Amino acid sequence: MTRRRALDGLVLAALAAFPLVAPGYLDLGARMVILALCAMSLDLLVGYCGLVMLGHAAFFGTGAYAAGIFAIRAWDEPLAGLLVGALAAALLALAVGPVLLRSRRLTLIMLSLATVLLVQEAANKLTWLTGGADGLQGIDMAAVAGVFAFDLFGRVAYWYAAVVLALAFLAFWTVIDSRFGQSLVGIRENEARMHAIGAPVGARLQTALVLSATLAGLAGALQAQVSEFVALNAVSVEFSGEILIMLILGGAGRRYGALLGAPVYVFMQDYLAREDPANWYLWIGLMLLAIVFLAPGGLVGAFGRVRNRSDRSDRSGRSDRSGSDRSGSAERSERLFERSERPEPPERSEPSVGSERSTVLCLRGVLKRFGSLNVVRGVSLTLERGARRALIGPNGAGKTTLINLISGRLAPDEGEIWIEGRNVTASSEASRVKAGVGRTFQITSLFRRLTMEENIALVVAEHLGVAGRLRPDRAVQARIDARVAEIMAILRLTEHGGRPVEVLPYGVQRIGELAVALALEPRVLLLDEPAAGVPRGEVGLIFDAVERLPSDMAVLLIEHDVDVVFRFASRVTVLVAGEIYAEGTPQEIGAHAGVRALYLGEAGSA
Amino acid sequence: MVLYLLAVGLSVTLGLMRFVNLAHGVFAMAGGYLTVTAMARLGLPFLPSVAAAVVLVALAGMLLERTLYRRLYGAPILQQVLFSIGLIFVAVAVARRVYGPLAQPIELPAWLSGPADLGVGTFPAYRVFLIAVGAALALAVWATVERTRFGASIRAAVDNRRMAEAVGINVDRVFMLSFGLGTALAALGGALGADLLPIYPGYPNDYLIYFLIVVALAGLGNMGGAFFAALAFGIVDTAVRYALPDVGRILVFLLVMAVLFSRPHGFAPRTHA
Repeated sequence: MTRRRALDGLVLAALAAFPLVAPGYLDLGARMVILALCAMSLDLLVGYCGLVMLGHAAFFGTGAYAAGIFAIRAWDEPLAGLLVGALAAALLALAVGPVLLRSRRLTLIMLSLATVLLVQEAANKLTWLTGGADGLQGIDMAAVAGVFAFDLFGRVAYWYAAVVLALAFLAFWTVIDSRFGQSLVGIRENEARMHAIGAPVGARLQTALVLSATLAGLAGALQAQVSEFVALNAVSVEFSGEILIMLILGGAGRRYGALLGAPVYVFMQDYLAREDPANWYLWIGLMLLAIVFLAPGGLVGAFGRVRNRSDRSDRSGRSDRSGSDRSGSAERSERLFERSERPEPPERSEPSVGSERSTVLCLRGVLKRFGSLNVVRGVSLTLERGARRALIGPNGAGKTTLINLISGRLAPDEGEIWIEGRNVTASSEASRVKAGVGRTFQITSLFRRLTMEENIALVVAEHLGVAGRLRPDRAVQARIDARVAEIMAILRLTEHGGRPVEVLPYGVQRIGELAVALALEPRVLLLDEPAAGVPRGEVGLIFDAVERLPSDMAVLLIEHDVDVVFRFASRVTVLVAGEIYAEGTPQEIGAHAGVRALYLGEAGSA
Repeated sequence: MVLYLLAVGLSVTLGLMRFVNLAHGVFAMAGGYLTVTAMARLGLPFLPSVAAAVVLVALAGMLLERTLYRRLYGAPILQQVLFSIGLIFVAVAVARRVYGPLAQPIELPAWLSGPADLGVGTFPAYRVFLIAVGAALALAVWATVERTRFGASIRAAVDNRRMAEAVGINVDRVFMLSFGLGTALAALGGALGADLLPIYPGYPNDYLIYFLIVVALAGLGNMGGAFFAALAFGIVDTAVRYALPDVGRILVFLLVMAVLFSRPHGFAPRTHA
């Protein structure tokens, strides 16, 4: 944090020092500053939402035209013009957002290009308003705030743009550091999972688009005011590409990426335009190829890599290997000890007091067909508060399908599903999350590049309803941190909290999956083979974690390992060919002749 | 129809190979330029020139695939986009350097420049020819991808590279060939269509949006869809512009947006919901 503050100071100092160092190049300086602002606004989408778009010139150009036209026809006060430009761009984003954000990848690129062409065509055709192909001329700005008149040397222009950039930078980082910013990163990393934890992904992206467009509009308005001219190519595909290149050159998703990329780009452009004007595009193209293959993180990334190499290697040496291994094995033996001392399966009876009211999940005659095949045939099942129920059965018995029906991923063809006394048969997956159904997936689906803490925090914030907050808030963050710490303590994840999920052992990732489900504070937790694919040595960790789940939570576990099932469950349901074949306590099921035959038969054939 | 010729090649790289290759127009432009050069400098007739251009561009495409594109398979889309923008810039600069900024006129042979009598009326022979070639190609490409072993190999390789390798498909070779196919189709489109979409250095940029529209409307990797989408888009585009020259372009784009808003996956039959 202190280093960050120091670097921020350095950037400000560089901004302030430019007029002193290069007093003859203030025009160029203002251009650098404005384009840095524009590239930064694009970073919100490309770097943080992971949306690749080629349409940013549409917002920049809209801001420029709006500010220019406003100055000519209404009021020549620059600050008011900035607002008008930003507002116009935001309105455009509001209008096209719903169309653009429904698509991804190629279609998104195409639609963003189409947006640029639309605005360009409009600017081109509305000659009376925009000056058409000649550009918008005759802008004559008054003094900024009535005090600072634009001078011939561009001094006021430079400072004006620099101050706007500095303020925008602060605002930008407030948003990135907020819960909202984190949730955008979550969408970038794993959009499907964000849907699954009930985040309003579309609305978040729309907000991001509007914010980004606002900043781009601000940059466009600055450009119009400072140069007192708007060229038609401010809204062009080429310019969109250039903005993206500036951002990538500096480094997308990095604090100083845009601030570094835009000046370097402008400088190179200026230099090459003088030295070798015919081949400017050749050089910029080659440079782009070089970035893609040699320095995907841009300039900032390249610096960072050189600097980090040394300190990362010693950090991983310390916490990674020695840390987790030693404490891991120590913990394991401790747990073995704990287990051997523990009394035989505790007689955890499902609470029967007031059983009508404490029923959490109730299935009535649920039936699901895939084509002509009835996969689940009229299953009725009731789980009370705090139930520990295992669902076993041979492969293809319909266990996962049943979980998908309960969680709302599939809709039943017949029957009803009730959660906490509400009929949710027809409700969506997201609304069942709200109603209290949590689940883990057979295949781990976390935000891989975020740390375990960040993963859980994303979900906690979503659950507390604060994930859309645009400003960091200490009190809110403290609440989130406390809850994250609590969850990690329950599942003994604390030691893994600070590292990206993708580098953690698979067994720990599976516990992370459990933690994410737990963070939603479900009333019913559906565990679909939580130890699937986990190396033998780590399986114990997972079931230890499962046993530490809050005791008032109803848990439905699918598991093949009979030992685990008998240790965990107070009741066992056996599903065969889509029907409940038997149900009872582990002892009853263990003694059930049919079930034994089934399992021994299966074991014999395997 | 030219649009179809161009877009179908893109559909191969983009849809089948899942590579966001915005530089598709570069290969089309190269096809056009080479055809013009072969005719003007070497005095070859039209069709052999086109054939030579297509072969050369396909070879160049395969070379690029071997050296550069292949490194970006499965890379984040941003990298692929940047890479292809870089390629566009380089190609545009080279084209401007070699041929100058003006459009290169193409000399159509006599049998294409006159009218053609089809019995039901006379049409410009050139357009009839384009439509015929387009339809023939549509069938050929569809048959290749859907009905031959090679097509199956492409689809298998994209779907699960390791599995495809495990069952003995030479994935590298399949990718190289299908990329070559994509670029060859682009070159063919660029060369044949040169009279309707003039060849000039801004080509890869200015027509990009049209290829993308067609592919997006068709749905990725949907060969038959690309044919009909190009046809539909071409007809609507021409009609709207003819009827309302002032706002035609705007209307067309709005229309495309509206269509994609209601059907984000284009006209492709939805395989997975």
